[in-house]
Amino acid sequence: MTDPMSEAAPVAGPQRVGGAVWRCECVGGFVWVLALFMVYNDLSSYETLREIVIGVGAAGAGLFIGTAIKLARPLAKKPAALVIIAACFLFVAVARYSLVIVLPVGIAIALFAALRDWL
Amino acid sequence: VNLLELALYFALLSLLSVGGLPSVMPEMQRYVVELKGWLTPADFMQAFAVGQAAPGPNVLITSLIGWKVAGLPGAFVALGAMCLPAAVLAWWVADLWDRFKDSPWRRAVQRAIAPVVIGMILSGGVVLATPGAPDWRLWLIAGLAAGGMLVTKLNPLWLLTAGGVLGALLL
Repeated sequence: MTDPMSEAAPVAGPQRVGGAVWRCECVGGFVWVLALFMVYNDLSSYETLREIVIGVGAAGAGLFIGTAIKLARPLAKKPAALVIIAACFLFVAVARYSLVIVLPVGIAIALFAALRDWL
Repeated sequence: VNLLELALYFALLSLLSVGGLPSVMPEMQRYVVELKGWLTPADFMQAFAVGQAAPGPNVLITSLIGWKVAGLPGAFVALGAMCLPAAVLAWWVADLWDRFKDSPWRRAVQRAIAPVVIGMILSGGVVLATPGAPDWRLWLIAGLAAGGMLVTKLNPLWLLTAGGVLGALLL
């Protein structure tokens, strides 16, 4: 299921509670993030602040990498899964192919592998 | 920039975001920075960092991109376009998904999606840590954050804070 993190929560979880929580989270977050960005835009001429923000961005990128490694651990003994992970990485991060091409092709190949019990 | 173009692009991304926003970050960066030139690589990374620092879902970064590209209307359009299609699809698919809970096809699909999503998330991390030319300092910060996440139980906010401190010291 597609899900940019949490917008599907109100429909996938208990509708009333999940919906209310999600609305608060999203509206509050939306206002907060715009305010933060406005302040940052005004202050971005300060070199140190720019360096701090870039450092936070790099750490955020590291959290993505850590998440991927954590998720990959259970698949470590499945060579087909590792090949698919590596191929997706090479096509998306190195060769910079569009996800519009890589995602359907990747899922089709992975589905083929899963149906043959390789995954 | 045409708001319609922004809406259509983020709606497409929304439908591709299997595994969450991290899996579409490389595509977002490719389109917004490399193809359209709406943001510089540094701008994109800063928008990502501010989005990470704010409480709320990761998807809020889309509102920052929309705002940079087309002002406040762009922020609303980008966020709405990113959220709505996936929410509608989730609502539509949730019942169907439950109905086929014992189907071998469903289990195969679940097993198939996992490695693809992992590859996408890994790509997202590497692309974000390389905003322009490769920079060992950004890779070091990203590597330390990844290592910190894997070997400690620290709250990610501490890792982001440490990244900010290292950024001030190294960059």
